[in-house]
Formats: sequence, C-alpha cells, structure tokens
Amino acid sequence: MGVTPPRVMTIAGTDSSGGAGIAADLRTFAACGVHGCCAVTAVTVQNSLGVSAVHPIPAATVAAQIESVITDIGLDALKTGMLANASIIEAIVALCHRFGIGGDGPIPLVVDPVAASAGGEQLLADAALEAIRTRLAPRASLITPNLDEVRLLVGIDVHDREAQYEAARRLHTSDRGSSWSRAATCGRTLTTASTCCTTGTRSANYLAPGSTPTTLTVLATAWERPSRQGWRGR
Amino acid sequence: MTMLDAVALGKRYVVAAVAHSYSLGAGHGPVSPLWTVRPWWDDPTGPFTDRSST
Repeated sequence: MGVTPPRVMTIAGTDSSGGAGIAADLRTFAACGVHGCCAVTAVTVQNSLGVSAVHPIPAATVAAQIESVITDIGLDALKTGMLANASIIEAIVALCHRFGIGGDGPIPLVVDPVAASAGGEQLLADAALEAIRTRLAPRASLITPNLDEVRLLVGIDVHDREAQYEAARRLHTSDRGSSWSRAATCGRTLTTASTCCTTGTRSANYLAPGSTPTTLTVLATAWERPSRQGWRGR
Repeated sequence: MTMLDAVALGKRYVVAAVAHSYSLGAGHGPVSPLWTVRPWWDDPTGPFTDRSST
C-alpha cells in the first residue's frame, strides 16, 4: 500500500458547467497529485453565460460532510470557496475551532472570499459578508480576494499598486487577530489574486481565476508535512 | 515551502492555466487546471509501458 498523499478539502459550491467551484478545485488537486475531498455548500445552475439559480445546502449537512472527512480521512489543509450564507459560515467556523483549522491550529485554512462576480456584483448577502469579514477571515492562514472582494472587505478600490498595498496594509493591521497578520504576505497575495483576475477575465469563468491560485496555494501549504513523512508525490 | 513560495507557485500555475483556457459554450470558457496532465496512455513511464516490458 502506498504512502498517503496530502489530504485537502475544498468547501464550495458546484458548477454545472464544470468550469469553477468544486469541479475546478478537484481538478487542481488531481493535477498536483493530492487527495481531494469536498463539502458542497450550494448547488448552482450555471453555464458559460452566467448563474441562473443557487440552492444552498443546509448548514448542518455542510458541517456533517466536513466532520465525516476529518474524523476518518483527516486533513492537511482546508480551502473555502463560495459559502452561500451566514449560517453555513458559522457552522464552518465552529468546526474550525473544534478541529484546529486555521488560527493557531495545525491545519492551514485558505479563504477565497467568493463574494463578488466578475462584474463586481455582490454575490453574498450582507450578513454572510460580515460573517466572512469578522468570523472566518480572522482564522485564515491566507486570504485571496479579487479586487471587488477587496473593496467589499476593506472598502478600498484598488486601481494601482499603491492602493493595492494600502489594502494589504489595512487587512494586515486591522484589529482582527493574528491570523490576518499571517497574511503579512498579502501585499503579494493581493498581487497574485488581482493579476489572476485581470488576466483571466476574458477567457475564464469568473470563479476559476480566484479559486485556482487559492487551491494551489492550499495544496502547497499542505505539502510540507506529508513530504516530511515520506510522501514524494507522483 | 513558505507561504510566499506557495503563493508565487500558485501564480505561476494559474497563469499557465489561463494560457491553456479553452472555448466552451457561448460565454466565458474555463481555465484549464489540468494543463499539467497528459493522457495516461501517453506517459512513457505509465502502466502500459511497464506491462509491455514484462
């Protein structure tokens, strides 16, 4: 029997067109040779032209998916994508506390705050956005907002490098605990996210540019421990 | 691997994924997260090669 590869979970929505969300995350997991697990937060009806419906999964069911995996398979990293509503976010935060995910815990948490469409429209209700801002993001090891999400999170419209760094500083210095400060790299994080979002907009589904670097990053952060344990990848 | 290294690696990955994006449907097609992967039967070190050599 082979060595267990890194185990990574994505918590996100489905995409019936297969281009984003859970589908994109699991593809990236596969490309990087790690074992991908998933917890579905919402079923979306969408194609290449747009999203026509979103059906959230009950928060208890989302939590049960995560707990079922953690208590059996275990996780080396966790990544969140579209979280649909505040009750789902609260359920995830509770599990993060319980199982040491993010914050000072041993399992890194990467938060892709999927909150704005490519057109800048707010995708989450205000309560859900506030839950990300005040409850989930403070536990994050890394946050990867796109430019519109930066605006929603810290109120800065990023149009140039100076504004980009100011947004990063505001994230870093905001009174939201040490996890935000772990985004001390977020000057670069924001650079990465915005670069991906600007270069990818014309040809890419709007979720994928944000989720893909996040996914790879969470994979990379998950890599260290298993590799120390002898896993060499494919 | 540091967080900074991971983010830099992530950027390199997604730039390539965008470069490998493909047309799908009438709107915006997806990026290609599987740009690193080739069909398993094209892999010279894959199971077909091993099987035929034994």
